[in-house]
Amino acid sequence: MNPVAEPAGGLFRLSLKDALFIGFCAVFAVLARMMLRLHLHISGHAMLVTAFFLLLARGSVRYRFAASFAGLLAGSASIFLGFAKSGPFMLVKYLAVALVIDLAGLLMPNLFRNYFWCALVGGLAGGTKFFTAYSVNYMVGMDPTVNFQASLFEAAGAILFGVLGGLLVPVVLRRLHAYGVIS
Amino acid sequence: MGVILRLKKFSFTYPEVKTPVLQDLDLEIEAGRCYCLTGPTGSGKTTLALALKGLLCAGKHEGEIYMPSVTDSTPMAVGMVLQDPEVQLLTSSVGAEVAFGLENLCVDPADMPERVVSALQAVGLEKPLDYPVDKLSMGQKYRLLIAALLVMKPLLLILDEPGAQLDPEGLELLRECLRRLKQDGVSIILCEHRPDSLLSEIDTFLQLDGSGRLAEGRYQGEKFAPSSPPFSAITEKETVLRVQDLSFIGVGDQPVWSQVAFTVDRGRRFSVTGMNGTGKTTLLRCLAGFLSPQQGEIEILGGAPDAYRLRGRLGCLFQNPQKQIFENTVGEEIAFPLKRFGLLNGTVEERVAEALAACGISHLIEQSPHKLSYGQKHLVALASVLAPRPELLLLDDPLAGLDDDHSRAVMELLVHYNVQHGTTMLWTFHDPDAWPGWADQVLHLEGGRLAPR
Repeated sequence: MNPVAEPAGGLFRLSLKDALFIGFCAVFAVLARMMLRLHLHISGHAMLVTAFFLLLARGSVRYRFAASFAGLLAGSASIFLGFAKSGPFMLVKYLAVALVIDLAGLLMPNLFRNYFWCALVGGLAGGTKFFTAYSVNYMVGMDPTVNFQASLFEAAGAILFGVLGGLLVPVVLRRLHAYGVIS
Repeated sequence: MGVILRLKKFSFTYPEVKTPVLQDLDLEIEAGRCYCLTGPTGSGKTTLALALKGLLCAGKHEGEIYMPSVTDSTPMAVGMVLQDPEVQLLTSSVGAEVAFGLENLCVDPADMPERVVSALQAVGLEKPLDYPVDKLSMGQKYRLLIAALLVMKPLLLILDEPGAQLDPEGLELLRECLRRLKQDGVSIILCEHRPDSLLSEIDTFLQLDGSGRLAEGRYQGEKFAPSSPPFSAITEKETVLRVQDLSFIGVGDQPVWSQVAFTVDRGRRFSVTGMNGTGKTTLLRCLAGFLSPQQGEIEILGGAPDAYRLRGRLGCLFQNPQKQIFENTVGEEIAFPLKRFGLLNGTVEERVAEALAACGISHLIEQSPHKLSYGQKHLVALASVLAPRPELLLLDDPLAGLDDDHSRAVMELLVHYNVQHGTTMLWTFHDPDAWPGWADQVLHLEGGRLAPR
């Protein structure tokens, strides 16, 4: 007879279930953006799905770098699919949002069940749009004053949609938890 | 006989629960013996079975489980049929479901048909190999899953509540099957509330006492003094359900039943009995308007079965409670229909508390209904259909997965609602002799016809 060992855990070991969850969130983040390519002419509306799925990835597993992994996967998939207008810079855009979420999760592990904190982190994650937009505009040679104003405008929209994306997270996590899908 | 599986000081605690559901269990399973695991609803029988199968993941484990080694002659160590067969079915046809395990064991395809047919015969499921799985009744699905495990020749076979799904004929076939398995050295664990029909094959009774401890012996529950249920509340002669010349055609243009006709007066209690697959659930679905019969007429609560018209007046309890539970907590689940009907918050809270207390599950109000045992889910679903106090209740096997204490309590509760609120009831059982005297009239489905017993 063989003794059955308990499944290995630990903060720095990613279980298959957690990896699948992160993968699903990354795939859905990309798919949702692809399927909802609405030309709304509203700055930052893509942040709704980005913030939502990256917050969901971090909130549904215990792994510390879940959002970063999901962002890395989603960014890479976007680049390889030739999706979005920023090219390789998409990776930076996803990672910047993900790092804010992972940092917030590190400081406050239980924030993902709370509407206020999720909205706040979603907004902060959306705020990274300022830096990414400023960098892209800088690289194409935009005047610093115009760049600052344009980036600020884009960031304002992204913050708004980030907040909305964050507000959707607790209800989904609560439902997943009730069904026993996440612990 | 040698020991094939051993538990040593095994404890298990579910996440976010302080008290362990299984505590310091020591157990040895010997080859060729049949064990019956008993205990009240929610005592951890299924949890222990899942632990023996190695399917308990989330939660805190302590102690050790020594599992049987897998060899070429016995490629499968432990096989388990879950209480709810629908969560375990993988393929869309009967033959493919039984052959699935053999495919994974790389059995020669030429050898498969004979083994598949033999396994299906052993459980008495005489259906074509291409018969769609979703057209089988719950009892037939349970038989199919037993066949799907038998074909792989496990060392230990665990059956969770076979009595809840199988009719007397199915249990007799199962008894024969267990006898043959024991002769072949296969061990069997039955998690069963009512093992009477399998007594001759059971060697050892084990009981979980509800506090997580395991001991030898059979859980008996509280002894009830036999009593006659009160007569139903018949105040006036008003027909609430009239069925005329009803026929339903199933798979392959085969009639499930035909020329079904009966009337139910307000405040009466009706029981529909019949073996697995005779069409009891199909009949209830037609009455509720979920299925359209090919022929005949249904008049329910003064009109055709229309979901919108019957809103709040008709309550349906499905055989599989998982199909009607969707909220995050038990309290929210029961409050859901009451809120849709626009009741005031105070009334909603009062009705929820009343329904919970009546079903004996007040302590579960904050828990997720999806993580409860099958029997507890059934009680939650029952509470949610009783809370709006409908005029007519259609209950599909309301006692599935419940122990004797809870079964008795549920029957008394149904009678109480019938007498107190004048609720008309129509319930189904697969055992024709279950609860004699509790219904005003018993209708029996057999050979495609419905007749009074």
